[in-house]
Amino acid sequence: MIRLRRTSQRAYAASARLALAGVLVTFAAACGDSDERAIKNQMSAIAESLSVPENDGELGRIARLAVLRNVLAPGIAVSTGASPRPAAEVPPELVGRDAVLALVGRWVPPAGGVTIEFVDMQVTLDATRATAQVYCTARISSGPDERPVVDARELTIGFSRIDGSWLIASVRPEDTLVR
Amino acid sequence: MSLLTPIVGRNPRATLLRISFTIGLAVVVFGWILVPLRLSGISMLPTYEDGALNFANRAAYWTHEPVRGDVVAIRLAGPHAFYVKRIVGMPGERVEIVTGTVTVNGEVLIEPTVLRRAAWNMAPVDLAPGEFFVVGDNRSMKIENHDLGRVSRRRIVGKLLF
Repeated sequence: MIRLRRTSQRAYAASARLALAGVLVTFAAACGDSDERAIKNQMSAIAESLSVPENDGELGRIARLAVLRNVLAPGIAVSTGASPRPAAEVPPELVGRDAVLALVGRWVPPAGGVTIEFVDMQVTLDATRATAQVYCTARISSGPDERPVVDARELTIGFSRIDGSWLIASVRPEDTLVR
Repeated sequence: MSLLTPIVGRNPRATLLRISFTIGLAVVVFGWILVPLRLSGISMLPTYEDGALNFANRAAYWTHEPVRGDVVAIRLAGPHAFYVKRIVGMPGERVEIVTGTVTVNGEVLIEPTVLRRAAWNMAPVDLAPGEFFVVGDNRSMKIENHDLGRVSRRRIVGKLLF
């Protein structure tokens, strides 16, 4: 009887140590790499600045553009994935922060507003930790009620560390379905 | 008989084990075998309505490869967003769309699930080994607004359960 009790005490102690180790590992994973965390925070800021609430006003639009300006590198290159056509509304490639902001500024969101979120983010830092790539899915939802997802695109977003901040240097859509 | 007895039963350890087993089973089933998904959009109308709930059954392709006509979930960057499309072309085949009609290796594909067709045209596409051609059932929209094309086998997560 005593032996059994000791065995179960040992088992409980081992279980408690395992549980503690699990909590520590989870906590470490949640904290993660500080650069990775900073990049993910930038991604959240971008998602927020691109999302437009219902009945958005001019002030809100300007504020969102200002936030977006702070996360874009001056020489950003954005591949839109649009087919090259003369005088097309969206060119296949945009180069420079001002060109990107001008396009976003011209964009007229749907009446019910639009929500953009980045999911399944996979951050890869290069060896020098001066650049990083984020592979993710951009999920776009719209509508007044349950905001159904209207589109989803795979993206590879390149980040560069400029003056200590992680800024977006490139955006490239990935083809999930290839025509 | 304590106040907790109706909740935990006469044998709390057995109750705890049963609860743990049920939770573990749910995690395994809905995490790895039947992936829950909510369809958004109109590209699979009329087969699947916008907002319909379904599951991607990973087990469907444990014993055999996807076949023509299967409606499959296609992975994007990770497990939180999928495309749902129907397989019309198999590896090694040539797929073409001529005025809304899909042809496979030059033969017209009979598609009873497609009720309305716009006059889509797409140049012939040769599928490599391990590549499938997928398209939605709603062909009434412009082809530019519809996601269709080749997809590699590794992106196909599973077959829709119902």
